[in-house]
Amino acid sequence: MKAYLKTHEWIEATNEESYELGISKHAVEKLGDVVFIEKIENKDIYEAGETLLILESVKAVADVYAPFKCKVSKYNEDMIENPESLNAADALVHISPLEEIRMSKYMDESSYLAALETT
Amino acid sequence: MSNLRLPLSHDYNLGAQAQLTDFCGWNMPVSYQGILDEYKECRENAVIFDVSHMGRILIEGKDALKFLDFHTTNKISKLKNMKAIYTLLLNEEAGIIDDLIIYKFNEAKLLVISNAANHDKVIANFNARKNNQEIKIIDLQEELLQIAVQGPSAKSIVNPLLDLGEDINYFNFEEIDFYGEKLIVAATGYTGEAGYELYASKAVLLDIWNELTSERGVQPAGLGARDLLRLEAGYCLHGNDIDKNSSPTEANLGWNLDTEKAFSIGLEKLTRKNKELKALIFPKTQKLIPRNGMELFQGGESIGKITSGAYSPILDRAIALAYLKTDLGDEEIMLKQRNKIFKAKVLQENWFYRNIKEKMIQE
Repeated sequence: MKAYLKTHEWIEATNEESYELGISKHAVEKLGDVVFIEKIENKDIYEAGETLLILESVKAVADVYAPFKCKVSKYNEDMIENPESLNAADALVHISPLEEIRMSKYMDESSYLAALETT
Repeated sequence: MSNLRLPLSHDYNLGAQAQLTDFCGWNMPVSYQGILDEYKECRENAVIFDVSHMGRILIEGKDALKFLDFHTTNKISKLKNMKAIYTLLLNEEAGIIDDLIIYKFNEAKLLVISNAANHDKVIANFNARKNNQEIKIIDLQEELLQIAVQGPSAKSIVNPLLDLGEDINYFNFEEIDFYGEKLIVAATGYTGEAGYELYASKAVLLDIWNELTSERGVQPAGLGARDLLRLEAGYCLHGNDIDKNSSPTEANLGWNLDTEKAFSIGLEKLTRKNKELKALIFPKTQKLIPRNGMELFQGGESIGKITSGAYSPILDRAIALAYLKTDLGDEEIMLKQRNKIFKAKVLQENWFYRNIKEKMIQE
């Protein structure tokens, strides 16, 4: 099941060592046409809150943040090379945690949607 | 958003779930289907824009032509009836108060189109400069609305609807009778495409809007696509690329100066050039959209700032307009963002679209 961050990323465990990370439907809609997705060069380890990827949309630029200290195990190269295919269902990146994760820190979908209503 | 003024298509926009924004006090559509979809439709077919927010000012009276000729930069006095011209209204230091389109009906009746943000300023300026000349300055923004149909198919879609026998040529206009009401059809626009801007009462333009969108398959487009289209075409946006601190020469708009006429500002100020508006392109591999305010460097020295930037779909790369120092060296121009350096190339001409496309993308 997907867990959401207030910065509009979602994470979902594929096994204990790996999580998929993508962005929410709300974020996809807000960004509009994304024309570039950029990786951070020469970087392996990300602290919680550090930028993992940069999304350049026609309207604005947005960062995708690391939810916890992690290492990128795999990028969704297809999506990164074809930014118009960006969607909320598919992961942008696979990450391996380098710290203990407390899932209680994150929101489930209904709490995330409720939080959107109040902002 | 309750204090915002509503464009004529507002009910349509709500129904279409357009994304809306506060633009200069108007509740304007940013996009309907998506900015790039609307952009593409305009470049390939035709779209309709609601531009209710533009300023529309009628200058009437015996001295109307003389007044506008003396106070704006272009050759207004030589303009033929039923033709339009692009011109600039300047302050005493030759800074650009606004860029205008003027439609000349005759010597005693001219319609001035200002930018939304400058509408009040332009009227105040005209009033302050009126003195004892025989002119009336009439704000028509409420009663004369405006829409634009733009794209390679625009004229062939609009002509039969308005019973126009043939295309109206670029920068010409006609005043026609449309079911007993007056309608101005002008071959002007802000997209780099052919098309018309239509001026009439709200009721008339709403009928045309509904007919074109519902019956004739014309997609509406919002301000997002409009901004991208105009930047590719190299049209300045007042507030971004030109303002009261830029002279016409600095803005590369010197072609709009009638240097032979008696004009309210001296030539020395008009041709002041401490900086220069230039078009930049970025290599295809550089994943960045340059945006207003980003600083540019050459050999470690700051040389200017981006005024407008975008991803150009037609060139598949980032493009920008920027004010640069006039004495640039030959070294590469760089933009630093997110601890990375992006390299830009300065173009000879200040536009990206159409005739110089092939030439400019040879790297």
